[in-house]
Amino acid sequence: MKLIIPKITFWRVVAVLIVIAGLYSTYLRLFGGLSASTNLSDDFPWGLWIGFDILVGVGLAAGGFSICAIVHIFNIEKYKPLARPAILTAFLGYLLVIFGLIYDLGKPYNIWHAIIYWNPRSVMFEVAWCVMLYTTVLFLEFIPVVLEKYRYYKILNFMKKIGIPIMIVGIILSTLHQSSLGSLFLIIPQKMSQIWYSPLLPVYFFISAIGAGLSMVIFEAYLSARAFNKGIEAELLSRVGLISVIVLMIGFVIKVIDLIVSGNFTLLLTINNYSLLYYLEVLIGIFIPFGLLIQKTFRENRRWLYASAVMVIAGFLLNRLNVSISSISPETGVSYFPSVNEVSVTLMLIVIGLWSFKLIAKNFPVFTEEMHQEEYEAKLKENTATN
Amino acid sequence: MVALFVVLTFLFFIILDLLVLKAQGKEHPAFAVKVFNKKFFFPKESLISTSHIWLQKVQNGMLKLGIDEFILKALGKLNLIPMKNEGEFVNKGEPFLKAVFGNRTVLFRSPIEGKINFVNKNLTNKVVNDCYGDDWAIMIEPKSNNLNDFKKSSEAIKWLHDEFNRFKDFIAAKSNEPELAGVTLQDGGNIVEGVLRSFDDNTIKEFEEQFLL
Repeated sequence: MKLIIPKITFWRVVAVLIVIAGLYSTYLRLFGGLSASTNLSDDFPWGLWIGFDILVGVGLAAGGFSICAIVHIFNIEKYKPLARPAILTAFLGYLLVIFGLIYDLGKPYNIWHAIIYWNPRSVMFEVAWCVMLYTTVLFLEFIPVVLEKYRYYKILNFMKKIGIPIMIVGIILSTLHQSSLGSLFLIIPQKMSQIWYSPLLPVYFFISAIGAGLSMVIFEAYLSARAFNKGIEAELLSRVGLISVIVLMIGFVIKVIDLIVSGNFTLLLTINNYSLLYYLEVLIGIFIPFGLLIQKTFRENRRWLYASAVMVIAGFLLNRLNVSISSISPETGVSYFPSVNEVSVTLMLIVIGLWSFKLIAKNFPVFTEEMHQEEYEAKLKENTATN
Repeated sequence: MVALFVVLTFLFFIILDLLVLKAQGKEHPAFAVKVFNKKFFFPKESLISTSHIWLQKVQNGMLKLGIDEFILKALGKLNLIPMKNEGEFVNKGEPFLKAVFGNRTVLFRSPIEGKINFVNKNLTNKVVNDCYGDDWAIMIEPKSNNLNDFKKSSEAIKWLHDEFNRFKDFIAAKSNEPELAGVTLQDGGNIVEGVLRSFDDNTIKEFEEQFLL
């Protein structure tokens, strides 16, 4: 058998170095505990792994359910080519969220406890169950791709039949836990800056996940085009970009009304680190992309479309980390900055996600259009005849 | 500060990727010319004629007609101008629609005989981008209900793939300057969308004769 040695490229070298560092940090985490590997403390128990790996990871994976809803619930068939890559991104995203959570849990080997020891009054319990169920749903949504590859047409036909109910369940579960992630912060109003704290946090988390998730679909399409030397669905993506910024702008309008009604709007008139961070968040994540993509000329220009998607994602990162970290720091009186180990584990999870996506997309029909029903039936007949 | 650190790291990797690609002499998809790829979408409920006009049954036995995605990719940005008015009769093979791209035009022939009941007024001065949706051209009341000559669903997609291959050969044969068609075309590479714009009037005329009649 001929040994195939992968070509050494800049990014491959970087990725291998990141994984080596990540594995060393994993060793420290597993055998030395949280104190040996992180800058977390009892005063500041949630850091980069929760703020980025969980809150950002789940939010950016929302592209999967948003595109599914557009294609299968609202029946806008032309977005179909985006569905499979979006579902794969979401599926891998959720698996990485679960891996990320294992790192953050004090006793990672007890991660299964939520299945047996129920605490229905806890928001975390709801999030845990929704994430478990939704990951299963994503697996079921993606499995037709595998069945198509190995020509299991009978099971494929069955999966097609139960596909819509599965997707509806997926959308319900996503709606529940995307908003519940915001609910996690509702119990600590006294610890958070009032710029970000609001009883409407679940609503903001849900809206921002849809907006940023759709921009993530655009970003992923460009990454795939780059990795697989394929074209991009420019027209579809430009529409997705428009929906993304409109959704985010709706979220922003609700936020402004909320700030005015709660009397916290004046906090934005004082210039300090927190108001500046908020301004940066809305400027990068909402205003500039909205200003660009609302205009057809920019929306249909692939350069600006890409730049806007990057800005929306950057703004979303700022938002989630502002809510989970920046807004908490001043009130607790303690400071937090992630350790090298926390950063290397996070980067390693991203590299694993990218590698997995590449490997799966290379070996399964992720980017090809689904076959027509007539083709299924023909193949099914052919399959039955040969058996 | 953590938020800023994470965002700056994200942007650092994006910029680094652009620089790496530049150093490798490659192009990021965001900066690349749109490639005319073989992937076509065709609505399941529609039919396609060999003159690249699609037809779809609508209410009262009428048919909606428009141009297909292949034409959009071959010509690039274009405007459609219906050449017949509402209430007029059109014969099979008679020009009924004009596509204007840059300072060039091509004519489309009607694949079916009948009376034009509606013309899409929204097409005026509009760049076509939703060829199977909002940017349909006319609605016709066909003289005959025989639609057996047209292809549908997977057969239509297969035919579009064949047309793509034929078009690629056409471009390769016509191009004395490969860079017009796409630098790697001679080596089996891709052509770019709107490639026909780079050719002279005679080539456009030949395209019309070979692909739109």
